[in-house]
Amino acid sequence: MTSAALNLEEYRKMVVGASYYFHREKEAINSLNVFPVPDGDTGSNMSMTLDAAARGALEYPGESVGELAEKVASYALMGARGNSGVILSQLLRGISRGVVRKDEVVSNDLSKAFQYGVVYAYKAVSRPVEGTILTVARDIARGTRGAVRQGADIFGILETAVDRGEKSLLRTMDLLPTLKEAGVVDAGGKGLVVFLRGCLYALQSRLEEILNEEESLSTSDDLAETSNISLEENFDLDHPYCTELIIKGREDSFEGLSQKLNSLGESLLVVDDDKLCKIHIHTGSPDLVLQECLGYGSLHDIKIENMLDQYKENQEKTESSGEGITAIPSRHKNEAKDAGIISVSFGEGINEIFFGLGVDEIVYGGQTMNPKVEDLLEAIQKSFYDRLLILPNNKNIQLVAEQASKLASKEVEVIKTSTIPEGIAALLSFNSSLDYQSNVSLMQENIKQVKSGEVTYAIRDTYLEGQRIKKGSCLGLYAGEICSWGDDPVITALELVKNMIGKEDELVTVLYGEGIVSEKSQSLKEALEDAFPLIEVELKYGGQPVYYFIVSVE
Amino acid sequence: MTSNIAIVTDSTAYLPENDLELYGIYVIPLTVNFEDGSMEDGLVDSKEFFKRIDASSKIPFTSQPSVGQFKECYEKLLAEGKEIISLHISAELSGTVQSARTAAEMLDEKKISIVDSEHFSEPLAFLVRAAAEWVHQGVSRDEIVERLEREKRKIQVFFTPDTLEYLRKGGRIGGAQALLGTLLQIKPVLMIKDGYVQVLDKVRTRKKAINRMLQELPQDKKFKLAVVHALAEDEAVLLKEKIANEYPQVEELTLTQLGPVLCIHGGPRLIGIAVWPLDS
Repeated sequence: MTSAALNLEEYRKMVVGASYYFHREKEAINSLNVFPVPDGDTGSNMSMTLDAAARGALEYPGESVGELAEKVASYALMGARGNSGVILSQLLRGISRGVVRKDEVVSNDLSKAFQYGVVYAYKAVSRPVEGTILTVARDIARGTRGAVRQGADIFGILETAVDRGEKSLLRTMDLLPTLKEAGVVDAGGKGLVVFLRGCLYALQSRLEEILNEEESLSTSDDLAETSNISLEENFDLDHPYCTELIIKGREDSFEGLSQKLNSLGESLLVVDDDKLCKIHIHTGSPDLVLQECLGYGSLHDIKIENMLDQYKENQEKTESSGEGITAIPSRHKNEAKDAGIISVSFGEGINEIFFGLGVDEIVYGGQTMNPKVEDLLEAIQKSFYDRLLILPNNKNIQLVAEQASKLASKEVEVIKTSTIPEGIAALLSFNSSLDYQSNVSLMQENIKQVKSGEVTYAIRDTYLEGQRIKKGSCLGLYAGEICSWGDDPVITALELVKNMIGKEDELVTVLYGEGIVSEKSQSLKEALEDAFPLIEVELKYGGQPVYYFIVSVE
Repeated sequence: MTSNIAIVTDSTAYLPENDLELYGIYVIPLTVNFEDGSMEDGLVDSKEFFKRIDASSKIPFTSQPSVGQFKECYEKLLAEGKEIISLHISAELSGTVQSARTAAEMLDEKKISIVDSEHFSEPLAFLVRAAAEWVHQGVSRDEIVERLEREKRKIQVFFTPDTLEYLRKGGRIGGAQALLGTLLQIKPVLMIKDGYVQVLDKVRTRKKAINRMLQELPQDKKFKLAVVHALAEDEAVLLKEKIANEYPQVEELTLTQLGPVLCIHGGPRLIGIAVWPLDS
């Protein structure tokens, strides 16, 4: 190709290639979480969103770049999972708006498309937060405008985009204190940069070549393409030593260091600031890494850890959290109601509770498995009801639910529930004798009636208040904070409830997860009753993965 | 008493003896049937009553008064030259009104007005006392019936049973039917609307349920209020005090214990309020 303009085939190649590239990088993005707990992995969500986009690109038979971009965007939207998936799909939609009716895309079009993308992405979020993928997208769009003025070609635009994106990522840590505390950049923003880098690589090296590399790459040490920032633990068995150090340079420049280290391992991070350079790499030969670094200056804060020590435990945890989509039968229409209720839920016990409270349809999903826009849209369209209410029951599913509601040909309102107990609280206030809008506001209002907490496990080592919390430990979460931790889920849950309970409270409801035997949950009930003699404790089987206990206090 | 109008009601108004004497009200009792015998509905010690329920293997069932009971009463009153207003428990919940109508049809119908109060318990008592008051004031029978029809719709009843079990067993669960399938503990806040049980709201705890009932009190009007309960006297007394302290609009405040028939249908620890907003 010429790098002056993108034609139809090149646009297709770019999207498909970027999706493929992203797939390989997703674990590094998944590990960028603020809390060391299992969650709706940003990398996986964006990757699945891009897979859908690529399907759109491959299925388009026509000849217009504009139409292809539109197809890509609409597939991405249907396949969008998680908040960052939705935002990514909006960026693609903006891009398609920017190239509408074009036969080919030149630098200026691409840059304009980025500007559109930013506008759509901001529009998709009701309260945009800076320090997220939105900030990164905006910085990228600004950067490419400058590149166009300097006469950059398509490669130049994408290179600028990647470069600006990386810089902006570092800024996310300053904008969001929680990221800084956790020592990570924003995962969604990171995903956007990986996507753009994928676009660039796809165009430079051609899609066929990337696909042909598939086999060899999985075993190869040649990681020339993966010099992306990865601040978190992502490793394979060939590179078990997580090596970190700081170099105080003899000169201002660390030129060539990245290239030299690249061949020694993966997940390389080289961040330099005048005379200081921070290195992070997963390698099989930490000795060689140190040797290379010595060539640039003196070494400090050297840390070498063998990640194999925790490998087995990690494996067990990931296996236990991987669930498939289970079809849950829909209930028949209840004539008395004028609106159907769709709830996102996991765990058979929780599903039964939801059905008992009047939910008509359950879409499988939750913390570690975010449903895609299409899943919710399908549930909406096949429902007996023309009006629906959706309970996402998770922060990271709200935006997906909103997108689904916008696409639906029915009247749909999303009740912004962030937890299972909030979903239950909202459902309780649903009253079939009231009209739709009254129910929407009542349910929205009633969410606040309940405090929710969870007991889960740490997916990596972390430090809190100067104490080390080991991977696999139990963590009690309430109001966005880790309130308690320990080896025993029951004690962790008891401590968590102590943090949640207030003078006015009367009832603690405990939903125990699939990994907890009923005697164990019974012992939590007894411990709670001993600790709070005036409070009622209700214990029910939730059957949820990931959370040993979901507790609510009201 | 100079009027020739007599007021007849049934036992579910649970009027105390001195009210009956003071107003000259006639009461036809419903019947509670245990396995080992029956008893007349009326004001009895509900603790003893629930003990008897606990002791028997089946929850007793209730039966409406017979046509004969009404006929006997009406005949006697008609013979005294009186006209009759017969005001009863909601026809949606009991066949009492039906028995009364059948009896009236056998007699001089023109002299007997049967009124379905669409209520029971204290709200029914509200209406019975008001009717007696109007009789005393010399209001005509037609006018009284008209007023009763109008006023009965203003009275609101809210209550929360400790369990839905009794409503279900008695077949009086009405709109609360949908709540039976719930796995979690739910405290429904119910109301009597159009004569039968409907759901006002669902909450998770009793305290919230009681507070939810209070949210329904009129803010801009004076009202009469009765706290009703079945074996929940302590809570009922506290609730009455709370209302007395926090609602200056309350004109008349009473506390009533539910009698056997309603205890059977509501179950122990039921607590509720009956509110009659007054025209200012």
